[in-house]
Amino acid sequence: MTGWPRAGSTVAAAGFAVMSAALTLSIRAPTTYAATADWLLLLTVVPCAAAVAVGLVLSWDGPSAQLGRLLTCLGLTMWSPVWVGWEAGPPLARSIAMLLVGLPPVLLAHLCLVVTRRSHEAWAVRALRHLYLAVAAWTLVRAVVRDPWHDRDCWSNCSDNVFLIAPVPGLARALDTGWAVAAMLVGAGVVMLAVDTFRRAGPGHAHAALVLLPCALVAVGIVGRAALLVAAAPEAPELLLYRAAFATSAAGLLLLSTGAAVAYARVRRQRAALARMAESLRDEDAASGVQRTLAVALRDPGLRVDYWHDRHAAFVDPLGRPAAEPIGPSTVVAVHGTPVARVTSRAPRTVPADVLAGVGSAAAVALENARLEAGLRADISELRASRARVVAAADQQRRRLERDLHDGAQQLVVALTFELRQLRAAAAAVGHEGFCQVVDQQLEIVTDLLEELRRLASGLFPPVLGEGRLCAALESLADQSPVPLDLRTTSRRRLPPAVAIAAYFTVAETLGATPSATERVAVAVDVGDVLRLSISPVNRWPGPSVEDRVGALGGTVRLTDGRLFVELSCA
Amino acid sequence: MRVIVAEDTLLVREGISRVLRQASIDVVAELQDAGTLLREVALQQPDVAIVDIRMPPTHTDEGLVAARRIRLEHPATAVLVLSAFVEASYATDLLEGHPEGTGYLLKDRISDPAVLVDALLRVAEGETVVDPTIVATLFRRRRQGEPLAALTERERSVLGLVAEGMSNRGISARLQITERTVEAHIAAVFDKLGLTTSPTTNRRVLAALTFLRG
Repeated sequence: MTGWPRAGSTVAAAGFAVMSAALTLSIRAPTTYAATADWLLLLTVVPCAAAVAVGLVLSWDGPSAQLGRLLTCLGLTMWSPVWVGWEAGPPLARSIAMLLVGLPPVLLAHLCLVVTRRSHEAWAVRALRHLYLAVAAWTLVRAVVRDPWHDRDCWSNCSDNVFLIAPVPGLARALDTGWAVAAMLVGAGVVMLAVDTFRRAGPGHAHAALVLLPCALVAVGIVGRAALLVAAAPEAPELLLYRAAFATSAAGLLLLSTGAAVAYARVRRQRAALARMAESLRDEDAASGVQRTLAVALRDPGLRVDYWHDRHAAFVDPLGRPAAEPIGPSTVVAVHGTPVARVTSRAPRTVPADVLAGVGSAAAVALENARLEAGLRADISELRASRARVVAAADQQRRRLERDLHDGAQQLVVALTFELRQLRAAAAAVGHEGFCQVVDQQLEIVTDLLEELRRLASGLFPPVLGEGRLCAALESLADQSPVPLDLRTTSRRRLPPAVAIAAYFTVAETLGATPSATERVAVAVDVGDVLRLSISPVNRWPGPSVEDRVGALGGTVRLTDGRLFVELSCA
Repeated sequence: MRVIVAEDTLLVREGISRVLRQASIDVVAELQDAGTLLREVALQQPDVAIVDIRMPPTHTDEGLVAARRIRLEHPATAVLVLSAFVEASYATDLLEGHPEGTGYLLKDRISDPAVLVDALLRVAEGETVVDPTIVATLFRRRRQGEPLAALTERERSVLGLVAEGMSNRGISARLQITERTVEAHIAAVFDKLGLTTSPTTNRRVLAALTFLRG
């Protein structure tokens, strides 16, 4: 239930609760427990109000929603006797309230199953379904056959049943007795379930006790009342035993509400703490964390810690970049003669030299860990840089080849066309028709040659890539691709050449690996601060050359659902 | 007509100059890079500058940049840009803003004196010239889309010739129809494609090219 229905039902439930409270307090109908004594009045209003309130709050929280709803329903149905006993009230309202009196044991059983986390089990689902159906059937039949006039055990609502069709006193009495017996059984079941789960909770005793034991208490009250109804009907609030049963149920409901509220508050606190911890874990890496901790401990916000990188034989900062020269007094922390870290204090006045020197021994292990991490980061960025160099070298090679083709072979062929035309003109001048035709044929071949050279060059390295025109390059690729390419771009803006080159060759190489039976390949390019490229369908991981290109620029490659996603920063 | 030729490959440069001289066109300078080109144009004030796109120092698109500058700074000098590449984006970049007196030809065709001289004359008169191969490539790409299907065969031919920079007279001569019919076809084409017809021949070239490029 989300949105409007949830808000609506919350408001309705709250409204009913308020009306019931008003009814109980103002009318104090004589045919209810509330009328007999003040403390019973309190025990009618407070537990039910608490159950509805806590239930409504819980029903808005995802995991506890079901518990909340059940608690609200339990509170409202246990309040319904007040409506039943309202002598001056509208008969329809009283009759409807009469319909609800059979529900509390079943609701309690459901609630107990939810609390013990067994409501999903097959037997539980079946049992609940049967119980709800039985209660529904019972309510229906009772509504149409019970005539309060003829019920000698009636004490509360003895006048009106709006739904009455045909009075069958014997059946009505049997139904009432049947309900009492069933209530006893269900109540006993709830008590057993609660106690058993509590015993098995082990170290989780206290938390379990909050909600389970009150469940059992309510169940005991219900069982007691049911037993009394069977043994010594009619119900008489003056009798101590009946009062005791009622009080037990009410007290149990109150404890259940407070227990649920406390448990819920505890869970929320834990969730918040977990979220905070997750966030701080995410933000912090060991190296920066040590620096921050030391800065706080020594009360010097400008404190800097650099770590020794063995291979570089130099200090690097927490993120692995080469460290700048220290400004201010610094102390080098060494372990067994090997430097580990260098702590630089920006404010010599606040951190005396001997304190700074003492940092070493105090933080040795943390510093060593942080050093390893900083070292790893430095290594990774070095690796990335070397990959970038390899990729760039390969691209340079291709560009050189393309340029050689263009400047060399293509230009020569163009020059050849000039010569051929000169030849043709000369032949035409002397009227040599046959020769002209021969030359025309040669010109055709040479034109084809030019096109072929152009295709080769463009396949090596599209000339427009050097200027960052990715869209134009991809359009040419689409022209020549054997598999139809469906190209969509958000902007024709020029990109930094490195980005355009990486994106182009990613598409080209992925296309190259696409089986020729593919009907069409969709390529989408989104140009912004980040270039987003998506190619589908792609069934195989593109392979090291694409990874190297993208990785060299610090971008990401992802293959999900037959679609390849590449992101490259255009900054 | 006075022409400057800027092309960094010796053989091709000499080939072009020879063709022009044989057509009685005055080649006032033969250059190899974009820097000297701009100086010489300022000095000599030719009618047309023939410029190769790829030239020293970077061998990317210096020629294109230089051509645009020439059009801006010396409006009386037309430019004919030569390229070995069928690259529609070069054409649209070149024509953007100043399509008049600008042309883009593939090197495949310039050995034919008829083609070269015709293109020179057209740009010298302030028209626009776009190599038919480029227009054909764009048409091939565009075929996959919807809008072209709404045009008749004749209208498609007219659109292609408009994209090549031809004037109404040139189109009527090529397709053997009257100029009035040409105007009617162009109006119909632009209307069907949702383009705004421009009063000048040159602007509509850009409109057509941009539309075809998608």
